[in-house]
Amino acid sequence: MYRSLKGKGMYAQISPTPRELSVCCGVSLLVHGEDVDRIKEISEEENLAYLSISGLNNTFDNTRHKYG
Amino acid sequence: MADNQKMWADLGMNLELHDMLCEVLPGAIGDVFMSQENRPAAMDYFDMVLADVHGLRPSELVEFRKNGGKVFGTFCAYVPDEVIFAAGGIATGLCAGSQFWVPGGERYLPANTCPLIKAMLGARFDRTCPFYRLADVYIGETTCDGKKKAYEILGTDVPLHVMDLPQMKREKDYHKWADEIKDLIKVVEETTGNKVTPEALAENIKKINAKRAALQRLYSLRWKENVPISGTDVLLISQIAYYDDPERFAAMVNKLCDELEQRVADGVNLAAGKKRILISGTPMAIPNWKLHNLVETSGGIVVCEETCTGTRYFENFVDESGTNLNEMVQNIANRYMSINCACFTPNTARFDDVVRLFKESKADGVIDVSLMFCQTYDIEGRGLEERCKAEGIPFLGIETDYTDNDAQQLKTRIGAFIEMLG
Repeated sequence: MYRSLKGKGMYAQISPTPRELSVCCGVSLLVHGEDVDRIKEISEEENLAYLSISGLNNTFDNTRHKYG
Repeated sequence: MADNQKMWADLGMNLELHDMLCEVLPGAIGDVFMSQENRPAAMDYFDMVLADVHGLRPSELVEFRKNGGKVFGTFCAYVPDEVIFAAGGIATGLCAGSQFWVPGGERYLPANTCPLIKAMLGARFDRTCPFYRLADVYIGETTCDGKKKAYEILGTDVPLHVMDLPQMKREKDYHKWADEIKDLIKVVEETTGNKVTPEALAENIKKINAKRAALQRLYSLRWKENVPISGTDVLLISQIAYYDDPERFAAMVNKLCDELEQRVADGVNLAAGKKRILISGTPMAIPNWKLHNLVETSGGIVVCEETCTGTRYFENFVDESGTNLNEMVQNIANRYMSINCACFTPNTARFDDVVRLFKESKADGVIDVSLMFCQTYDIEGRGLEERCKAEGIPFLGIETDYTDNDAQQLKTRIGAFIEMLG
């Protein structure tokens, strides 16, 4: 799916799955909210599988300085 | 995704505890990496490896072991991967860069032990890292007293072979290290059941040299006037170098370098308006991104690491002209003995390295970082500071650990240092 979206010039960022969505440390794609409908269409057209598309209010803050 | 849970359970991991690590890592990765702007597209591979750090590579190692393969866990840039791969094994770094593992290590070690060593024992005994579960044999080395004693404890829980690294660089020490490599060959042969043939060793010397060449290319690109990639991203790549498949890793670094060359040509410059910083000192194992994040959010950009997760890992190639096992082993020994670690005495060649790299990377200042209680690097910091002063190189010495507690104080000091650079 990443390659397909990037190939269409759409934003997609490979990222770890947020804990709120899964406890498995899996891979997710970070996408723009306004692209979700189009992504669902593309997934159907190109038979691309995904578990779910979810929205979170998380923000990235490079001054939080919490490193785990 | 459910497969990861099953794999971790099959590996005997403590899932409940490991879940706590999974809880903090995505946020840290988001803050440190995803928040960066104008990143190279080819970082996507390294982002993927990081996003599933306890899933992707471990699942490959699980498959490898199902087919009878043996995995060797290593902790140090001195352990020659060439030998392990030549026996048909896989070498994987056992990272120990998280505060999460430190309390577990403190159950076995004095609190005033360096965080890397404490994390090493915590990751093993708490059963919260798949790589520590997947390694059939650990290969230790005598690079410091803390590690030596910690290996004795670690060795009660897992097969462990310790290589006796000389602490001086006389001719006899180079031969001594070659003998240690021969002992390692015996260990990997006995473990894998495969002979290390001259053909296999020659092939793997070339393979690991190719990985070094890719990293050298990456560094030479960030040393341009236009810096096409952040130091934080390069640090991640150096960390992944320790445990990824070497051929795939070299291919991915070279793919990234192709893009970086184009970015340089296009005038992309992440260093615009920032001060170029060389970081020297102790290794930064994954997920220790603290110093790079602090520097790069304080008006600086890291252009070089004179560390084990930097130039010490890839500088100098193994001479590929050896025609028999003895020659090849001595050539391997010579290359690894050219690494300048603070465990050696005297170690003024490391000061020469820092001065040379400062010039090559066009840095504006040096930040020397010592992990807390790392006696050798901490003591050596004074000599390095004197040498830098004599060379007119701005210098800041920092001692820190994996906790977030001192982040704001460090940020103030680093910010003031960068401001002082003008």
